[in-house]
Amino acid sequence: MSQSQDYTTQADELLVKSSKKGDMLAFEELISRHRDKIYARAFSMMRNEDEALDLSQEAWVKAWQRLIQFQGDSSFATWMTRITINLCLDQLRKNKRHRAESIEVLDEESGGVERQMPVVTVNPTEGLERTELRKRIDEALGKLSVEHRTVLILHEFEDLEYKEIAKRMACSIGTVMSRLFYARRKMAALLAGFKRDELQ
Amino acid sequence: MNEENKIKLQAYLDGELSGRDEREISELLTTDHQAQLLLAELRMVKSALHGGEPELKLPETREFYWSKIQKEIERAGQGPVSQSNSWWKPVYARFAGGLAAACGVLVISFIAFNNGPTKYAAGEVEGSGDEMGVITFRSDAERMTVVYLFDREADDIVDSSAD
Repeated sequence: MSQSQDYTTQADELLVKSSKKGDMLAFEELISRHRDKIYARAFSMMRNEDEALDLSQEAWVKAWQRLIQFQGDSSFATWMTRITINLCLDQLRKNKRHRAESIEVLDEESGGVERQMPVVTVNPTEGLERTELRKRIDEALGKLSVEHRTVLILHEFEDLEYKEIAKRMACSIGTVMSRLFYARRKMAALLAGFKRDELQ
Repeated sequence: MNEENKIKLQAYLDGELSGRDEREISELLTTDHQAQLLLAELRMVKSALHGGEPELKLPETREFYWSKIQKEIERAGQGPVSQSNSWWKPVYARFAGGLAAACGVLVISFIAFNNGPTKYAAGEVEGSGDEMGVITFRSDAERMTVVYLFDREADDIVDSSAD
């Protein structure tokens, strides 16, 4: 049995241990296991395939360089995802410098059109297959602004508390709360809209 | 219901309200039908997102993806082993910021004492760089200048150590 075949049966913890000693084959196995999740997270945030690919690769390189700092208090996948998110946030900040502040962006905290939206009273996701639900959520995420999408991902997918999100997004807790609120309201409307389209 | 209460309603859902606010919102929910509907909507979105995180496949083969990462790792020439074999590197990394700040304070204090008061009574200057940030604060009244140096990538490091 070859050495690389052995890696496939090893737990992440053992692979991390070997990687810390400089074993690149063990690290490659870790990449192979988690690459889809890391790429998916980068894509969810960036909504751009090329950027997501570049950032996910950069995250792996950073992880290799900083592996010695990983103490195993969280899972390796969580640690990797956090590195990826930080890189994405940095990139989004860089991108923001290049885009003009539009009225839409300024409306993120005050609500804009979301203030006027009626409450969605029928659950538009009820009875949907998991694959279909994922597809619709992905489409809806793509229609949100960068700020709304980011706050939703950090809160709902990463399970971060308001305080932690504020730190990562470099804004106040109040801003996080209002962004999250209007992001959810818009998400509800988008999901309900998909349902209405289908019925028509 | 005002906007403030709507946002508190969400914090209630997320378990982020303090005792008094939580009681207020609980009370509101027993009497306000709109609040009940809004809470149901917010809950629906939360639950949909929890079960519906998009799943994607990396659009590259394992070999090709790895070859690019491997190339970059080798180009950077930094790895976990080189760090772990040198006991002084983590110590240096931990205290480098503090040492640099102390040196900065000494140098600026030396210049300030030798050149006398500047035209600025007190001032704050922020410098920027890709990896290292600098903020200086000068107070002539206190005859003091403080220089803060910080790692812009500290978030990653915090994550790594506090995982």
